[in-house]
Amino acid sequence: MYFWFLRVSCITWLLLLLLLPSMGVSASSQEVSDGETLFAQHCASCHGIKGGGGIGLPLSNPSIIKSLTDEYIRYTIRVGRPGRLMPSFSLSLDDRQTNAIIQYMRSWGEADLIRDQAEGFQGDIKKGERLYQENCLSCHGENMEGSKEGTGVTFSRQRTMSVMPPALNNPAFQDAISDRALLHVIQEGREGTPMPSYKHKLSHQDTHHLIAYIRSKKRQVRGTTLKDEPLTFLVDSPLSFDETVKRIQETVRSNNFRVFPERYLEQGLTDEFSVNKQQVIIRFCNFHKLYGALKIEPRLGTILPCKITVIEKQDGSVQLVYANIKVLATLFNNDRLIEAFQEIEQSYNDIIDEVTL
Amino acid sequence: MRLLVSLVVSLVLICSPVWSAESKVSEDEKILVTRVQHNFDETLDIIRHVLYQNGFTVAHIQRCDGGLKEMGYETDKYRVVFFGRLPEVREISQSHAELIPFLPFKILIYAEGKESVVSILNPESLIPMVKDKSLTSRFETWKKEFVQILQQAQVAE
Repeated sequence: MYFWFLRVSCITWLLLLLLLPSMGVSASSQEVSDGETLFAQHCASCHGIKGGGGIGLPLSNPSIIKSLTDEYIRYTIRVGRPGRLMPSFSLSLDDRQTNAIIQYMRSWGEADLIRDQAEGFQGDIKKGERLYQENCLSCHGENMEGSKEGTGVTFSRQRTMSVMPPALNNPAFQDAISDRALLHVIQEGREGTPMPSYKHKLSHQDTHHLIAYIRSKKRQVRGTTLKDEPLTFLVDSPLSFDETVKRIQETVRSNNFRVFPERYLEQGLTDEFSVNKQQVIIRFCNFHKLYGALKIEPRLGTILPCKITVIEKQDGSVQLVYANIKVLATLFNNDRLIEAFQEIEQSYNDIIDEVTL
Repeated sequence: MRLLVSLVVSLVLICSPVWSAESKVSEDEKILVTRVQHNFDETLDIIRHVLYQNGFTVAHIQRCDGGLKEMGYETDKYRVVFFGRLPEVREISQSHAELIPFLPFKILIYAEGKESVVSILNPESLIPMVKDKSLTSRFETWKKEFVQILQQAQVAE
């Protein structure tokens, strides 16, 4: 039976190999189909089904796809936008898969950058700075950090903004985009987004001044090394269980956090009589810090870092358990979030020191 | 007849990797994310149902907009659903107290216009930081379960 099955399998493979070309499955259409699947899998959660947009740019918008070269897309997929929401896909997508996504995106339109009439012209940073302040600052921010006030459903952009203005100072953005592509976007604008066309206001030479200024503001990324960092901390408390809980709550309040009603670890998973009352989660929040962090990374709710759990072990000893903020911050490929979390980390350390020392 | 059956089985086996590639959840990211083509309230119900189907209990659902309104936050469509299995939470909190900060699990739902985005921390991304390597398979299992939850949420009617 086994040999029979093996023989038939071989025949089937041969048949498939012979039939595929006549079935019209050409390499490129197969690539587009793969690309569509991969796009749905990796990109649609932010860029929308079929690239219609969401937290991410509406990539299938004709004026946007026209401005995106293959190199730009490839680099952006590989490196992401550290400091923004776009993750790096360097570990999850190989070159073939990346190309398949690009092929699929090309079904929305080809890249078609306008001809640079001042190609090779060296822009003047000073002149560019003045032009930036007059034309770009209101949307892209004083330091080119992109949208400042994210308030909409996803925090990441104002409700009135259909897309989030890019952080022009982002190193990965600057590395991904060519001068010609920058010139194209400034000159042509992006229809359907707040980015207007400046072709009647800025000459190509003016645009090169602006590009020179934008290039001069490229932000440096701070590296993070997490070698030997623990995932969580487990600290002994010198106090009794109840005293520890009370002390943490007081200390958290004195560190400008609002304390929420405590919850038992098992609460909601079982009835109130069966729940282990010697495992209490103390949840707290500084809304100003949370708001700042959510504007940087709306998916922060997946970790909600501000909580300390107090546990009493069977031998009566009491411990505090809490996540290592430094480790949590690195999960998002976002050095701005790492900076924002440094303040929270300091507060955490102060709280733990006050309770346990 | 036997030839026909064998041919069909062979075709199924040969084609199965292609079908499994239809999954629309990016499985290799540190944060697993998927887009659900349902509005926020429907998605919240779907998530509750899917968690139940997978043997989890929803412990509670947390709003994050209370104190944020004063700062300009305008929406109520952002929720964190805490969920777990009591025996598992009990066992881990006793045997590996260092994992307590990740319990119960959290799944985030927020609105994106008429659609919703659902995210969850990929437990596999924590493996390099976990000292007890005997936990690796458990993290891998959780990851598989979470991917399944997102996939089921995505195709739910």
